[in-house]
Amino acid sequence: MSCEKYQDALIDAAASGTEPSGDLRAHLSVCAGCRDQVEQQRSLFAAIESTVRETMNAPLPHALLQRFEARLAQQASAGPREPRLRWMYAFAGVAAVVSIILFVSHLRRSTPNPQIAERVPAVQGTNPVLNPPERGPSIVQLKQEMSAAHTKQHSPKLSANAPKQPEVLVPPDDRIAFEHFLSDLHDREDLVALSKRVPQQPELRVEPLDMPDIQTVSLTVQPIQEGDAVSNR
Amino acid sequence: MQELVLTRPGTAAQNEWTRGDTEAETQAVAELRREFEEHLAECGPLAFRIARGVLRNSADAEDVAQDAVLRAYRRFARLRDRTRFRAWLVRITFRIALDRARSANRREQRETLWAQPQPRASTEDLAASSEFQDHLARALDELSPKLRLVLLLAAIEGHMLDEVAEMLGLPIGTVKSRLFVARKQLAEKLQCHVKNTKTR
Repeated sequence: MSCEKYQDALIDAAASGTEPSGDLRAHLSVCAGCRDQVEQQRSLFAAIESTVRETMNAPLPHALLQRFEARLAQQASAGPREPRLRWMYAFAGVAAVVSIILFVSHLRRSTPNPQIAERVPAVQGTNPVLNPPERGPSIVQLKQEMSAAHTKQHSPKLSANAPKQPEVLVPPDDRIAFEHFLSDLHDREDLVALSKRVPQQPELRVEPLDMPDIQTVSLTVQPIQEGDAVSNR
Repeated sequence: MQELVLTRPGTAAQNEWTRGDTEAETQAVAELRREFEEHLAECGPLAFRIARGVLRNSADAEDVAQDAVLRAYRRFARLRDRTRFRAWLVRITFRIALDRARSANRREQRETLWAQPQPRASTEDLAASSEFQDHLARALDELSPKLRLVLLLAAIEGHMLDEVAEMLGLPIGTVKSRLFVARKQLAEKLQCHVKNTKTR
């Protein structure tokens, strides 16, 4: 029992490499088994120490430093550029990502809604001379106005404030397209100029024709006979 | 026939400035490189020894030491206190070596899982010393990095404990304590060899 009490102290003494003192020393002087164990522990620590030392102090490979310097020279010839290149690559990557995002967002914005795209050319096609495609409203505008008109039409708040007049039921998109058509028609200065260029025709005056009166003097009116009526049948 | 070259005013002066800057830069780089090589001649072998202590393989250790040297070279200009180069290189090497050892262990585990089971030699076939070294290597791998680094540095010939303490920026009492704990942990894991070990 007393030997077990000294087990940790034995290992500590062996690990520290110092001579045991105090109670442990007194115990070792009377216990051959513990003395033997201390020796074994010391052997173990010595073996550990020597093995680690042997590993750490093994001779260096031949020309180790020359290889280090050669690798260093190889790296140094291309080395100083590396951080700059790394930054350039990073910058190029970021620029590419940003441009892709911008391109995609632009594409999304300019892609027409198929329903609107079908209607707008139909509205504009009513008079392509007066309402050319380049002067027409953009699809985005049309879409926004259509949604606004839809909201206005279906919102109970707005419809309550609306004037109590009979309404002509016109689809909102057709109405908007027609408004745009009218506004564009007013804006078209070339049409005004075209209308000014046309020379005014002199008013035509229609003269009354001189016609002789119908002669009815020689006409005689006779009553229809029965025989004539039968023969006519 | 003389060829006339039109130059923008100020360009020549600017070129002179640029050339001056480039020359100064080149000189500074050369100076830095010379200083680094001096440090390398002194500390290169230490880096290799640390790497070999962790990896227990000379080829891998040299590879790791070269990586550490290159990394140190790239960051050398940022090292304010050049007298700390030795400790700095030791830390870099130790970290790279630990990473390499861990990845090697993972790779080994993967390969072991897929490989056919090898016929194992019986315990009697193994020499006691090689078995002890294997167990010691495993026990070293299981040590915590801070204990391990102290143990390895203290085992290098010519390294006194106060040098190790200075290198790691630790009080000498901490170094002694870590060394004691490291040895004790190793001994606990190698108790099965108590009756077989002999001092070399």
